[in-house]
Amino acid sequence: MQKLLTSAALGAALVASTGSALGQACCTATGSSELGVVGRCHFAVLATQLSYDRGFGSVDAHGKYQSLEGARVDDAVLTLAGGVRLGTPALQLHATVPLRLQHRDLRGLPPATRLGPGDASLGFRAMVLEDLVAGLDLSEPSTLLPFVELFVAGRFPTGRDAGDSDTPTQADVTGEGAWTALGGAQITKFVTLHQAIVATGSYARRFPHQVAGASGQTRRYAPGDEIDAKLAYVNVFDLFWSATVFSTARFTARASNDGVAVPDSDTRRVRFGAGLSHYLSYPYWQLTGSASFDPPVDELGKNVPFTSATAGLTLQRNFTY
Amino acid sequence: MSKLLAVLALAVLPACSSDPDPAGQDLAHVKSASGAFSAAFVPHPDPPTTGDNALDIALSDADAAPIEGATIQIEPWMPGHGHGTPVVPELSDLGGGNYHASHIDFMMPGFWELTVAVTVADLRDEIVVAYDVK
Ligand SMILES: [Cu+2]
Repeated sequence: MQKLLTSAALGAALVASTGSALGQACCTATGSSELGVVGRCHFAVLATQLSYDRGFGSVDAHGKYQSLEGARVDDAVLTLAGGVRLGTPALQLHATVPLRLQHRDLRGLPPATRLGPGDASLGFRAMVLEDLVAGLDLSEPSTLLPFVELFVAGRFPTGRDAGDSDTPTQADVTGEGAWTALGGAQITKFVTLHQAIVATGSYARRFPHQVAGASGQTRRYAPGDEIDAKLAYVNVFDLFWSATVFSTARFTARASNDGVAVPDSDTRRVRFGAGLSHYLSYPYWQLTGSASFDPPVDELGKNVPFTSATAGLTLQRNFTY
Repeated sequence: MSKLLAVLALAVLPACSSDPDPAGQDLAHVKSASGAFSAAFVPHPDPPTTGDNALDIALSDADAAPIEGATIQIEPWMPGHGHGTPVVPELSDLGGGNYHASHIDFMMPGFWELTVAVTVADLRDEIVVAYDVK
C-alpha cells in the first residue's frame, strides 16, 4: 500500500512539475467539475456551493412551454460537499449535504419562505482507465484512451417530502421522499493538451414509498427510474483558469401509484450551462462560477413543473498528497 | 374548458387508473360509473392555475333531479409526483344540489386529479376529475 501511495505521490508530483497547464488540465477536467468529487491530482476536497435558482416557466405533458404567471418560485441552496481517496488514487468516496431556503408565492396563497435540509448523497467512484493527456495522435493508439471512471451513489430522503408538508405553497418541501441508488460512468477525453470532452451517464433506481394525502388516504408511490446524461467541453487556458460549457439531460420513466402506472407521467428535462473556474491559490483554493438554464422552448422538455435559471458559486479547498 | 379533463372512476378503482385524455367527454354532465350520480364541474379560475382554486359542483341523480344534503370530500392529488396538498378543501352546500369547494391548492403546474367522494345516505361513489394546471 505504501508503495502505491508513494508512486501515486511521485506521479502527482511529476504531473504537477511538468507544467503547469498540462498538470492543471488533467486535474481540472477529471472529477473536480462535480461538487465534492476529488480532482485527479488531489487527495481530498472540501467544497461549499451557494446557488440560486429562479423558476420562470413550466413544460406540460405535451412538451408545451409556458411562462409562469402569478407565481414566484425561488430556491437558494447551500451545499457542503467533500471527497477523499480511499488508500489508492483510483478510488474515492464523496458526499453532498444541501441546505435549502425556498420561497414560494403562488396566486391566492400566503407567500412562504422555509429553510430545511435537502436530500444528501453519498458516492463511491473508481478510475478504471487513464488518458495519457498527450493529445490525439492517430498513429499512436494509446493516445486514444480516455479517462474512464465508474461510480455508484445513493441519494437519501433527508429532506422533507411533500407528505409531511404543512405549508399551502409547499415551500417546506425540500426533498424527494425517495431512496435512490444510481450507477454510471464518466468518460473524459483530452482531444488536445488543453481541451477535453467529458461525457457522463447514469441510471438511477428510485425506490417506492408510502405517501399520505391530506385526507389520510395512503398510496404506495413509485417514482419512475431516472437516466441522467451530461456532455461537457472543458478548455484549460492556463494554470489558473479554465472554462466549461455543458448540457444535461434527465429522463424519468412513468411513475405508478399502488402498482398502476400513471399514463404520460414520464419526464424529460434538458438544460444548458457554462462555468468558469479559477485557482485563487494553486492547487489548493479554487473558485468556480457557473450558470445554467432550461431553454424556454416547446418540445425540449416534458412534464417539468418549474423550468429555471440557476447561478452558483463554489469555493473548494483541495488537499494534495 | 378544453383544458379541463374529467373522468369517472368507481370507488374500487385506484385514482391513477384514469385515462388522462378522455377526449370528447361532456364535462357538464359527468355520470358516475354506477349511474347513481351525475355532476357538472366549473373550476374558478377556468382553466385552473397554480395557486388557490375553487370548484362549483352541481350534483344530480340518474333522473337529473338535484341531490341535496350529500357529503362531499375532495382530495387533490398529483399522480405523477406522488403528492397531494397539505390543505383539505372546504365544501359548502349551497342548496338545490349545488356545492362549492374552496381551498383547492395546486402548488405546481402539471397534471392533477381531484378525487371527489360523494356519499348520499349509504351510497358512496367517487368521481375523479383531472386538470392540466397551468
Ligand atoms: Cu407535483
